[in-house]
Amino acid sequence: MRTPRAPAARSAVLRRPPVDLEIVIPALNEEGRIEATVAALSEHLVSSRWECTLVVVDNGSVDATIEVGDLADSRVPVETIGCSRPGKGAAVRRGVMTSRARWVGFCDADLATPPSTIDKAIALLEAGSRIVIASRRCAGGQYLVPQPLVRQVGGWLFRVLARDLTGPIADTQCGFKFFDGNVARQLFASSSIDGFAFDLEILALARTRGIEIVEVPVDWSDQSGSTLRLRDGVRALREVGRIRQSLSQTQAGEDVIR
Amino acid sequence: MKGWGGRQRGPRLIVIVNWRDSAHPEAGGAELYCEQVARRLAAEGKEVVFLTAHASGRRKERRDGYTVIRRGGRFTVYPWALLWLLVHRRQVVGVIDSQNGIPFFSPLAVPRRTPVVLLLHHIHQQQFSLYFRPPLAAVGRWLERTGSRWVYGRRAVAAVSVSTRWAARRELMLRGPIHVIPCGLNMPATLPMVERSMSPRIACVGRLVPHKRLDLLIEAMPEVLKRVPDVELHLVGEGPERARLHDLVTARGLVNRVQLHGWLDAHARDELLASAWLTVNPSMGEGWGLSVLEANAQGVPAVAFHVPGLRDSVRDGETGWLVKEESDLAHAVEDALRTLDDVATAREWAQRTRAWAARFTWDGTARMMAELLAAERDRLERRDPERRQSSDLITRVEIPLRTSKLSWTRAFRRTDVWSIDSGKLIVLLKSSDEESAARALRRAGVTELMLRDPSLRVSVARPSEILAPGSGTPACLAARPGGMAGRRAGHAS
Repeated sequence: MRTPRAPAARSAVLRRPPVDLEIVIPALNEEGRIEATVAALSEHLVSSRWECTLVVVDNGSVDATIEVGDLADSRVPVETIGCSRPGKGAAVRRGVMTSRARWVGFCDADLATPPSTIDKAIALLEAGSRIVIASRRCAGGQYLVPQPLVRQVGGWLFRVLARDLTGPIADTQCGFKFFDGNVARQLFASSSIDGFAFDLEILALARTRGIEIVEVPVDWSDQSGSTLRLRDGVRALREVGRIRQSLSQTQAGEDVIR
Repeated sequence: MKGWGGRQRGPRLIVIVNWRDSAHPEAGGAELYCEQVARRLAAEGKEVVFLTAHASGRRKERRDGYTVIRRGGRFTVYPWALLWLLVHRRQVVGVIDSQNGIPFFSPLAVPRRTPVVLLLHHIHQQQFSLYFRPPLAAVGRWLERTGSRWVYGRRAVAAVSVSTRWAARRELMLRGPIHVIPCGLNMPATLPMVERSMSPRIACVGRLVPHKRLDLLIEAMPEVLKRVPDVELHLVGEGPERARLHDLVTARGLVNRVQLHGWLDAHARDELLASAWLTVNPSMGEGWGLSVLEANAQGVPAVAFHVPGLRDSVRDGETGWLVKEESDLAHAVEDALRTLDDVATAREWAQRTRAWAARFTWDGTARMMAELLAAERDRLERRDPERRQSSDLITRVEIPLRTSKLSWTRAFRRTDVWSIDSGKLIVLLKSSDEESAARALRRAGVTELMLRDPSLRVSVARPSEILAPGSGTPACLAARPGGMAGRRAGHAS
């Protein structure tokens, strides 16, 4: 089903004050996991020399996610906001578009990637990189706990379909990506995918604009209790088609202008 | 006034279907809910029919301004109700379909454009096996979950508590919008000052059925007695568990400390409650926990487990204590009684529980139900799409009364809920996030400058805020002009 493009967060009132780093955590019915994730991230961030904020985006939970987020033992500020537009992509977009941070990143509520990856990413961003993504597939990265077979097959199919969109990136779907704040806001403002394939669209958009993407290897452990269901997988595959379509339209538009 | 539907002949009926009549010997919260709503809708001039099983009494009678029609028995009431609705479908302009494990599947009998609200008290998925043999229990589970999902589709759902709302979405996977419409409370006629009992008294009111687990409380009593030797427990209510509970009391040697009263009339019950220090509800889950609120109204705080329904009706540390583990019950009861031992402290607790109970009125419940039916009618008649994307997210907007304008109410929907709390208007915008709330406010004429005012606050509603947005009685935002003006003073020019 086609839904109209999400309006970008235009209201300045809903944007948060600027900090050095904001990490967006999209959450749907995560009352069981969000607490540990917030605690682990904050534990890691509190010793950094940057001013950091965690942003939990509730995507319409029907459990205590947001309350647990409020109560989580955090040593850095935690903001809880909502996104009534369904989809992980929509939730992350809301978090990014309401941010004024110098750097902005996002990670999954199950924290499958170790928080220490943040340091590597920030070091690279500080040195001038504009997009740093965690990768389970580039040299040095690995799956500590393997994914179930269905996920492996689905992932393979997804990579085959998406290969030409992102170029030489080994892993587009790891839920741990960091951006220069302005670059992130520009990319997300022109994105339209609300579902699980949103990161692919962001990377494809970055590629068409000639922005270099740096991959850092991570050790990744599969977490049970994922909210990704078969239906979502199928939807993600369809979204790859939509990304292709919207990119070629943009391309055509630019050719006409030239 | 606009009618409820299209071209019907004859009376325009609002039908409430429920398996039992409130006169039924085992009537509980669900029956009370239907009866109170029926009475109030009738008082507003609506023609209301209460359709229920025939346990006793006449097959048709007038009561409190509405008509009671009784057909069928415990299981046959379902086909009877459907048949009745089918025959009268041209006159029916709204159905409140009260589900007690098995819904009535009323959308099968009425036209597609007739508003139907599915009323859910609690979810029975795990309880079927407690009352029925495996094959029948499986049928029950299927009807409550898969069957309902098919038949009710995107029709609106009213849940009595936040827990029920969550379970309706997560366990039953219903697809329609789910609104929380809590039970009200008959505030007791001011009792002559009842003195608190000298010895620490625990009073519990409710049917004696397995899932209420009063046996857990009785089992905890010997432990409580060790530290509070003069404690006494009073159980008010009847039910299939009575003999078993009685035997348990005898077996534990508690005959002097535990009394089973059976049913008491409302006056005697309230008097006993008012003399109690504490109420305990060890149930494994309720829709809402009306008995907790009834005790609260008498100034009595509650101990309960952190389970669906009760975690909504008991505010931990404010109107009672929530216990996580079954084995901690005795400790929690002991601690509560020790806290309440101090008269001044007990008075503070009593004030808080009374204020909490006072928020829930049947007038508010009936109002919200009427608005939900009207909103459903609007939705079914209107063909243009909704502005707000359908979502379970609720956004809370806090507006200082001094700056608010009456025209702003245009930003709100019929089903949005408001309340007034210390000079602020608090509104819950359903199916909305901060972004769409700000858009709605802007459309209604709130300027960018006002939106920047730090005293205007927009945030995602927390679960505890959904039930009671402010300290006042929550109410529905009537879309009709003047709907709010009558009750709200502060609209600055």
